[in-house]
Amino acid sequence: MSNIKTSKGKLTFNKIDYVLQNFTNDSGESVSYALVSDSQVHIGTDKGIILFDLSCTINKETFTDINLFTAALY
Amino acid sequence: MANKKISQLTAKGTALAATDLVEISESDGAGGYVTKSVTGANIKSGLQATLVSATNIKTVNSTTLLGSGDLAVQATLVSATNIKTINGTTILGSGNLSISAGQIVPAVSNTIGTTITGLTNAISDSFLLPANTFSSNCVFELQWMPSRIVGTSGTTQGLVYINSTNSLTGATLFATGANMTATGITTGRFVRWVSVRSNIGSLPLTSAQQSSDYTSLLPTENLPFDNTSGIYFLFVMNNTTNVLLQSRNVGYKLVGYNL
Repeated sequence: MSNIKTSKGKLTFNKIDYVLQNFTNDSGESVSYALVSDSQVHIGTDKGIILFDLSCTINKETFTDINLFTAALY
Repeated sequence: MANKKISQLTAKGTALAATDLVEISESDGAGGYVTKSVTGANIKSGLQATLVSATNIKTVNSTTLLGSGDLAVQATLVSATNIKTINGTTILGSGNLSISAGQIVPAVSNTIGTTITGLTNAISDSFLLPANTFSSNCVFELQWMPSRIVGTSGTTQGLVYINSTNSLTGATLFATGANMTATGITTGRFVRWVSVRSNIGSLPLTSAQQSSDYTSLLPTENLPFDNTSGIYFLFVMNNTTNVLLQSRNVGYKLVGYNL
């Protein structure tokens, strides 16, 4: 299980650092994230829109709810 | 020596000396002959010198030609027999063989992707772009064809992600196809055109639902695209609002140029 490490507007996954930032969603709105399914979310970063899912832990913590998972990233 | 056959003469028993004399009959050019003598030196001066490899006989790739036996050489090239052709055309002959513009087609689908059913966002098909297929400066065009195959309501999208593994987790959104809402079987062709400079790709918004990149209204995104490592292209079907929806990716093609 892959871990996401968070740190003040940044996150690290697979040894790659991402700076969290907004992106434009399908409706043309500037958003920081967009839920894709009950287990997946699109996260806006400086390296593009990254898909994360509940198979990942966040700071070694496991989640079963995508909303709680997303909230823990920010 | 008179009245003796040559076979009856006493053998010299040693090699011809420079001062030895040998009797010859010299042609007078008019059908007659004149008896004369030549020295051993005269005879030797007309002979080929002893062959010494790399001195008075060349070598082949530093290997001597002297000695007994056969010298192995490549057989004569015969098109389509011991040298292949290109699209049925021989490559034998002189002159230049012109190859058009360095186009690379590293991926064309030859199968239909896995059918994705229900409210999910899952991989239907994928391919690996091998490392160093493209340089740090290149342009390429990806076309893909998502298909909605079952469902009377709801929306299907065909998305493309890139990742270092054949997995959606941690994958980067690369393109979003337009919504497919029509009932029955619906197939669309979508295009993503990318210009890569120093391993950074410039392209319109990845999240916007566009059927092509032709519009000028979308802001530019800069996406990391470093092909010094292999990159997986993941064709994902996203079915929403209807658990009965079924969809799949039915084709893709990647064409590019290194600059």
